[in-house]
Amino acid sequence: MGEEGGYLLCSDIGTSSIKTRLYDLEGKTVGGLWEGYRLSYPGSGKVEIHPDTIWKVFQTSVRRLLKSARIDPGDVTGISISGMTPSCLPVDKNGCIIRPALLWCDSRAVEECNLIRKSIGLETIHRVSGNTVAPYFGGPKWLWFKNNEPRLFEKAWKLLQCNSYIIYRLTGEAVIDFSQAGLCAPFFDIRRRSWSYEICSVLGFDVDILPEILPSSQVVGETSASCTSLGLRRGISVVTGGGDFACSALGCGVFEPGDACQMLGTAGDFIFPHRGERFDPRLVNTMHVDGSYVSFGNVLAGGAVSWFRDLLAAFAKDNGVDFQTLEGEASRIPPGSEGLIFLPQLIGGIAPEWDLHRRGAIIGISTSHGPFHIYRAILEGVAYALRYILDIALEAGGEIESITAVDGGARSRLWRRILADVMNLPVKYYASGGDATMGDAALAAKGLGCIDGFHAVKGWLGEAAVDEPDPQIHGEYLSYYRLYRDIYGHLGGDFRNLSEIIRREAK
Amino acid sequence: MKGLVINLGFRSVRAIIFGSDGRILASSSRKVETFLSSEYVEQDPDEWWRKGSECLREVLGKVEDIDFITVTASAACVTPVDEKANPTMRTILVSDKRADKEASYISRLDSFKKLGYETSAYYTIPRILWIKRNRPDIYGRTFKFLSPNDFFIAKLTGDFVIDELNATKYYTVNNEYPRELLRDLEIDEDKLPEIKPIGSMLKLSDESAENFHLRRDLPVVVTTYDAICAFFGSGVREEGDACDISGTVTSVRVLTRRDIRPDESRIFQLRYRDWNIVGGSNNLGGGLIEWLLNNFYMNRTYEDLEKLSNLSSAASGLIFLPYLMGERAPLWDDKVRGCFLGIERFHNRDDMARAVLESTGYVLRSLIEAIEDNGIQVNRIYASGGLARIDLINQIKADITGKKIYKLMEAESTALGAYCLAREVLEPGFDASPLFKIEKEYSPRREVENMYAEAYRLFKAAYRDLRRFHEERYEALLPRGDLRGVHL
Repeated sequence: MGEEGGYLLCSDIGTSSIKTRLYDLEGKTVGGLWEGYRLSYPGSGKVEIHPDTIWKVFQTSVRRLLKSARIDPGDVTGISISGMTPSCLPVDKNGCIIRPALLWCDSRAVEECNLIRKSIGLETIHRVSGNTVAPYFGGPKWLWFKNNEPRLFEKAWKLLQCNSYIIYRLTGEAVIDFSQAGLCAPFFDIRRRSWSYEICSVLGFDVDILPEILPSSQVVGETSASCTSLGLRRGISVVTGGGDFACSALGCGVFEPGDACQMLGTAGDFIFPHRGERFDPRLVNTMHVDGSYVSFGNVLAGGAVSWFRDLLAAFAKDNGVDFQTLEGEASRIPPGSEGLIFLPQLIGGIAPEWDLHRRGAIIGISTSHGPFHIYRAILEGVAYALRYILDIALEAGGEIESITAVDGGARSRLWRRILADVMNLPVKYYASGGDATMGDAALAAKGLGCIDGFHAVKGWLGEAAVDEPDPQIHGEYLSYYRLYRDIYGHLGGDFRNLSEIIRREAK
Repeated sequence: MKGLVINLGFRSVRAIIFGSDGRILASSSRKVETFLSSEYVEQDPDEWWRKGSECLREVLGKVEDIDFITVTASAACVTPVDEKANPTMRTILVSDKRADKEASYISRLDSFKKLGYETSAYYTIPRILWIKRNRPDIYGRTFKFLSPNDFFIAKLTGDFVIDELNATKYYTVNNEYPRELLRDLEIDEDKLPEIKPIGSMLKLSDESAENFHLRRDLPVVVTTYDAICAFFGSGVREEGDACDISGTVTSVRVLTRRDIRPDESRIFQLRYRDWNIVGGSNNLGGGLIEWLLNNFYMNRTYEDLEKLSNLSSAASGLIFLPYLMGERAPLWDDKVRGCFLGIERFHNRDDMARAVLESTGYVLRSLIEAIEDNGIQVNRIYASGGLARIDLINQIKADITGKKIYKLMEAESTALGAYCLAREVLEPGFDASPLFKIEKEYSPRREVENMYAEAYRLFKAAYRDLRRFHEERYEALLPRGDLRGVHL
């Protein structure tokens, strides 16, 4: 196939940036770049992005990448886009944007959750969707839009996701894949693998407003004539793509029970594939891009680090503190950060805590703790939160023997070491990538018929660097982990009171 | 009436001459060195005297015909000297931890229990016992165990005396040393200075008069330690007047004729003439701001903090517990440490800094609450010291406490207080009030009252809820010998 040429354009619409890569048909990167953007935080619990921003940044990315990569743009034969999810991104009949998209980390749909619980019942919801009810899921976000902005809702033709908006712009097709549909609980029936007509009608939704669900690797259409403005020819096959979490897992070879994928992007999803025998409602349960099942828990990971980087940006600029310095200094601090503990729930607790009032905290600060201690404590705090997810995954019957770390945060050797020691599992890392865009490449390759199955991805990845857990350090971390859980338990009421203050002050 | 005040602080020794209207006519200061090791915090009295003498000569060269000298310095710093007032060892400072064992030994003695003092290595007697047990040679050579006030007075007059309030650090009851306890500990009472009332007048020694070219009968007036002088130097004069003095630590005290409850252990009461001085000191002071600036605002100054948003951090759900070194009054918790609570993604550095500033208001409110629990009403608060330089902090304190805050014009309120206490003795009927000028007044803002009341409840609840964690954390760090935070 190589002789015939052929490249795959793969993009991941992330929380803080769009990552775009060109792959050849053997999964080798021939060029890549990322372009950042900023989300807007219009109020406590609200997180949005304007789809136009996504589209513009995507356009710039593609143009720049095609320009810089030494390939003939005419040789691009397939496109796959993955992205953050679940969102509420409504477009009208002409494909025009109606309002900014509510993102996965937006937690405003509290009332709607109560409504859904009341009108359907938690048990039915769990039976149908495999999930609990929380503002995180797509369903409550959609209902918030319907109930709070009825005039805008009237204009809505389809409710899209961030990646499917791009696919729509490229092909004119409004679609969603199974991994993302599963996150639009309670609208998705996880056993029957389709939108639930029953739930649509109870909540007053016409099922036509929901995009068609297609397998992630299915070709949904071709690039239209207008794509030439991006430097893309007309007629390139575009596949459905998938949720970033599922593409990340696929991209690092995680699609069989026993393996787990640890995303260390803005979100820190801990993802493990299974056979769908049980769906523990503390976790998020959906379908994998290969048609099997996955579950995950999540915590703000890189998002906590970037919060801290923003906090320190001016300081760092004044003092020449860069990532290397942070890593180096933090590595010299002993496990436990000399008594400093960080709670990473900056955007509330999602799976498995499902406690919206949760917020972040730094506890145990003394005069001798400075920025480097806080940095290390953040890495450790995220690891403690992930350890809790692991505990629940094991309780839920998950089989987990090793973890593969992906995304920006995985480049931190220190963080991988901390993860291995806190989780007591080997942590793998592929320097070659193995992120969501690699998953996209696999989906596009499969869609074009270049590969038969996803096992090919394991060949693409090459050798992993592995960090084995150190039993002694693990023992030390266990006692800090217990402290972390203890604090977490004790502060629940305080966070609820805090959110009361915020709510009242916001009025 | 011109008075010269020697003021020894943690970081420097100063000599200041005040004129009749309370204005500073001359002042001079020298930095002093602190010697730190894991448990020891020491300074060298020879250095104090050498540098203090330089300051004296400098100000006396500028202003002639002074009417008196007085001294104010930190309390509870043990300064052992020989017959000629030469130090037999370095001074053991307030924050020194070496006498922990002696303090807990003393706490078990019946002769201690009836005195009504709490157990702490901070007091003088456990430290003298430490010297006796560990350095019997020094104990033997020592003629008197003085406080820094007494040391300067001994140098100036040749008399070995201590004022009644400084003497309370020696567990005095009704201005008498605890004879029975001293007997149990085999500490020789003769090695302690003679207790004198505040306002006692001594005379300059011939040697000092010659040394500093001063008249031989120049009065040296006994006042007292710095926190009390700062209290009187802050302008308090009526029932319910309180001061909030932030230096290395923050002292909050109120003037009242009422007594605290006998079982009140969070705060102290000192008797001065027919008044009570009620309150306590916490561990929070300029160090908190320095920590903030050093770690997050390199190369910025106090004044830069004024530019922080006027929007409360509590309103956006961020609360800071400022116990970076544990806390003294009103919590008396060595194990607690600081905490940011309620961090959201959109909180930036200025929000965090603002939360740190707001914490000074919660801490002030908690001290006032402890005072008012005893039926003593705090009416107005005079703020002085480092933190009072920041307008934003003063406004925050007014908002959170719901009390009016008055920022004083005078920067040297400790020395001014000593000046006033001494002048009252030499000039009967002297009214100090015109000497205190208010620079600015801060009123509580009604619109944030409820929000801060809730935030304050949360501030207290968070402390309570994290208490067990801090105890466990302390236990976890204990084997490492890593108990951070020597109290400076």
